[in-house]
Amino acid sequence: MTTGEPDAVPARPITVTTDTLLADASLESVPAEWDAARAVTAIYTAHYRSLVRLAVLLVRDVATAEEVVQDSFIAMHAAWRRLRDTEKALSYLRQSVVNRSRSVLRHRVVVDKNAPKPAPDMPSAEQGAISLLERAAVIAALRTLPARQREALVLKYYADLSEAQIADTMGISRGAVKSHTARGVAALRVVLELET
Amino acid sequence: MTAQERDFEDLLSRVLHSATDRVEPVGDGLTKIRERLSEPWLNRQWWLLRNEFMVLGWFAVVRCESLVAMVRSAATSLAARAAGDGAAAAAGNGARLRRLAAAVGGILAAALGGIAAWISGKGAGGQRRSPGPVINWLRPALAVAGAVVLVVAGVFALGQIRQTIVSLSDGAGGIASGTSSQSTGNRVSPGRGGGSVTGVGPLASQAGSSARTGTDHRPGAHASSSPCASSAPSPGPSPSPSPSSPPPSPSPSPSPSPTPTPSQSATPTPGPTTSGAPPSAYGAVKYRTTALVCTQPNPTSSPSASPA
Repeated sequence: MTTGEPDAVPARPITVTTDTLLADASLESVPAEWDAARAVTAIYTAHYRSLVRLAVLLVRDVATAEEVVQDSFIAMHAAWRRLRDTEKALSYLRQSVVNRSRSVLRHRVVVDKNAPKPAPDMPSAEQGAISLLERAAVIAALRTLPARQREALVLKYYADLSEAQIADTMGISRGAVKSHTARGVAALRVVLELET
Repeated sequence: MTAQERDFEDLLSRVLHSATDRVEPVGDGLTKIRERLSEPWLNRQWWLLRNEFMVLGWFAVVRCESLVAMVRSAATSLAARAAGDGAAAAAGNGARLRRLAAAVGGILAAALGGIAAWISGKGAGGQRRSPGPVINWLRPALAVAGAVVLVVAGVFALGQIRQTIVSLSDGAGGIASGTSSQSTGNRVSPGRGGGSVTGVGPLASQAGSSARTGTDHRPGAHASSSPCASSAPSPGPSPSPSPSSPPPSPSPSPSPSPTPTPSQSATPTPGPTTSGAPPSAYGAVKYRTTALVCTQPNPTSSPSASPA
């Protein structure tokens, strides 16, 4: 085991493809001998944006999503020595983001009870207005789902995770993942059909 | 999976991706992360500890607010009852102590639940696979230690409260006895036998047992007057000490004004008397005293003694 000196580690080609889907990134290239700061930098470069987008779908707020992801990075940095399998650092981050998003939503429930309802998204007159409407409708319908169903759908259809990965991220069984996903899709369809 | 379902899933995936394509992180997140990581370890730990103890303190304050209010009301009612019915007050003490114990138990359970939730919440934040260095357990250990301190303080406070309640009830009896000793000879002479207060004084009416009031004509009963005994003795002597038919006294003995103490809410239940009063007690003053002192039950002398 090395001492974690950054200079002792061979340089790793970091591809700054921030649009990389989370499911594709197994981050097998993060060696175990890397120190926490270097790992944080590497993972941040590769996956920060995707993680923020994942959090945005869960917490519906970019600033909060960024805070959630940054907190997750800091937690990963603190727990780096406890991670037996550093190749699963991204999985750790993803799970942390989902859990912290849950906490944010839990705290927000009380605030949302008294907050004024935001104005509905107005359709733009630009090109692609139909797709905008469609997107707004789907996002609005997604927000009406229970948290677990929403998480399962986001992790499946945005992060393109497998059922096993979703189960690992959400901390539930694969059967529960199937159940949440199926119920979420059915509820979305019902909501969208009602709107149309 | 039907084609329709597949289309819907494609639509969902496309919409989710297109909805988040516009999202761009604001600012340099890595700089923020590094700034937060570069903070001294002690600062970070202190900040986290302070937040957790603030939550714990808030929780304790909220929980103890009802407890303090309950204790205050219990003390007030006990003070009122202490001058009245001792037996009923003792029963109330038991009930209130049981309620206090239940409240403290609830607090402890909630605190332990909160600590457990906190610990599990910390564990749910990520994969905790190895115990890690000892320093990682510092904050949970300190939080648990704080909870233990709170519990111990609560136990001591409960003991103090109990002692206060007991001493309050005892003190009421003591005050009654002391007052009675002071009032001896000042108010009613032993030769008068306290007949003036027999069944006509306000205390006698509060004692609620006019039949029993005045049956005991032992001299010196006036000496065992309660703190409110200054109102009890009326100058008008009662001509008939018979309990069965209290004759109308021509004197203005039932003066309504001198009823100052809150202990007037004594229940008419005659408790067992004690030997704190001299054996020559008369009338209502006697019963008042016995009602005050009967927080320490002593069935040796009963007010239902046969008239002398």
